Formats: sequence, C-alpha cells, structure tokens
Amino acid sequence: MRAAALKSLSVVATVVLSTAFGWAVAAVPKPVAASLHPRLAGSPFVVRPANGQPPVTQTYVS
Amino acid sequence: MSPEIVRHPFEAMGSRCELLAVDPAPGALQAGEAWVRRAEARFSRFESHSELSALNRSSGAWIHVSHPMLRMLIAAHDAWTRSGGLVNAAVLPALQAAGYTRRFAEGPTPRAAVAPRPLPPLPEALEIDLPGHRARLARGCGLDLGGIAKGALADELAPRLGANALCNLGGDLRACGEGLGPGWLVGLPNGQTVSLTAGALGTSGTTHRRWGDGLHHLIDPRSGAPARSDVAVVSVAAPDALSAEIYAKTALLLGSESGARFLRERGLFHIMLREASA
Repeated sequence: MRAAALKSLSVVATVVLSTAFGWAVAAVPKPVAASLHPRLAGSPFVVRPANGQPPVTQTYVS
Repeated sequence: MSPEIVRHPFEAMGSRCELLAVDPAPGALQAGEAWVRRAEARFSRFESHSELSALNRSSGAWIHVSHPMLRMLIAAHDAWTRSGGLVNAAVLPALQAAGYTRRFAEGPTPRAAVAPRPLPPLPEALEIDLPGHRARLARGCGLDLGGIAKGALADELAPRLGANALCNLGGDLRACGEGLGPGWLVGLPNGQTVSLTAGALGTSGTTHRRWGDGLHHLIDPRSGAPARSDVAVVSVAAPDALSAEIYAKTALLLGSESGARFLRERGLFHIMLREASA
C-alpha cells in the first residue's frame, strides 16, 4: 500500500518536472529540439532542471 | 563540517578536463589525472609510441592488443552498431585527408588532392580476435578513437574517483552519486543548467576544431568528408558517457529533423543548436 502510494507520488512528480522543464526548454529560442525524460527504466540515472542553480562544470564541444 | 566539492582541472587529450568529487580520499583526483594521462599515452593517434599508433601502422597484420585496447575496440564496434554506422572509428584517413594530421594546436596541413570517399564499414576495417587478444586493421585503414575514448574513459574513471564524483573529459562527462544534492549541476551549451544523478552528458559539435570553410573534425562516414549538417551542437544525457557520445554524434550527423527523431525514439534528454546559416 505504502509502496503503491510512493510510486504514484513519483509518477506525479516526474510528470510535473517534465512539464515544467519542457516549457523552460521551449522558451529558449536557440534549440530546435529538446525533450526531457528524467528516468530510463532500470537505471538510477536522473536528469532534471537545476532551478536556477549555477553549474559546477560544463559539457561542451571539444 | 559540511561536505564540499573538490575540483581538479587539467589539460589532456587536447581538451579541458576536470575531476570533481565530494570529500574525496586524499590524492584520489591526482591519481585520476595520472590515470587519464596513461590512457592518453595508449589511445592517442598523435603519440607515435602509443598502442593505437602501433595498430594504425600494422597494415593488414594481426597484432596483439592489451586488455584496455581490446575493450576500447569493442566500444568502437558498439558505437558503430548503435549509430547505424554513423560513428565509425575508421575515420583516420578521412581526417588526415581533410588536413587534421597532427595535434590541433599545431595547426592544419593542406587538404589531400583526392576526392573524399565513403568510409568502409567498421567490421570490414577492423577485425577483433577476442580469445586471442588480437586485432587487425585492413590495409589503408586507420582508427581515431577521439570521442569514443573520452566517453568510455569517463565511464571507467568516474567510479574510481569515489562514490560521489564526476569525471569530465573534454565535455564527455560521467557522474556517480548526486554531488551536493539533488544532483551534479552541469551547464549545457545553450546556457541552461541541469542536475544529473548517476548519469552522463555528452556533446558533439562542429563549432570547435574547425580550420577552414566547411572543414572540421566531424567526418560523415557516408561521404568521407566533414559533415554538412544543419546542426552545430548536440548535447545528450544518457546513463553512461559512451552512449551519450554515440547518440550526440549520431544525431548531429543525421541533422535536426532525423536526429531529433532518433533521440526521441530512445527517450533521451537532449538539446540541439542550429548552424547559424541553417
């Protein structure tokens, strides 16, 4: 019961984050394509918006 | 005392590199840099004594390769397969023909007079004998491991730095743990910042390592010439850095429409920036 509730909460949080960040990405004029998929099945990997916090490092073309 | 991020920047593999960790063990990041330098000595095509250079000189003969090289060659095959043939490590002759014959800082050399030719499929150019620890490059073929090596090395090094660490090798980065929480904060080429937990980001683009009109380091294996894509930069998030590198480069070579579809089909977060003239 508790696990099911937590799972539901996680799904809701994911949808909210995806939607919020999707809008943020869409508002930036340069990208021609952007999407957010915070979780991939079977991986602890998560990517989400930083909510205005400064980066500690960068990904860039090298 | 509250936890702190310790950073260790350095130059290697012709790129800016940075190792970060939350409260790392003493010397862990310095040991990480030494590990990167040993890897560069093995995988660089610019080092005449590197294992890669020996393989590139082997001209059709089977040669013994080390375990790390064997794993890297398998990663190259994996990249070729997962990219539908677009990420092809057998790109060295095409790069050299375009004028990228030495370290980028040393400047380009003149383009070859011959017309570019499509690259051979990697399985034809590179054979691997797994049980025998041997590899054979077809005559006239050569490997540049470039981004494949950076991605694969970032994946291997990050967990060695600590349980909460990030390895950034020229923009191919792999995170373990979640930094100071709720994730490692990573800037993207479009100015946005994302929070990354236990995953990776890779960026591919034509905005750097350019040396003339239409001349840059990203070769399209379908033509054998520098890619002519309407995309200038792609960043992709994936569970591991090798995958992020493969998918970013593939999307760039496919162009904005097909590239975005390719990434969407795989459920990957990404951003794309167009060429200014596109």
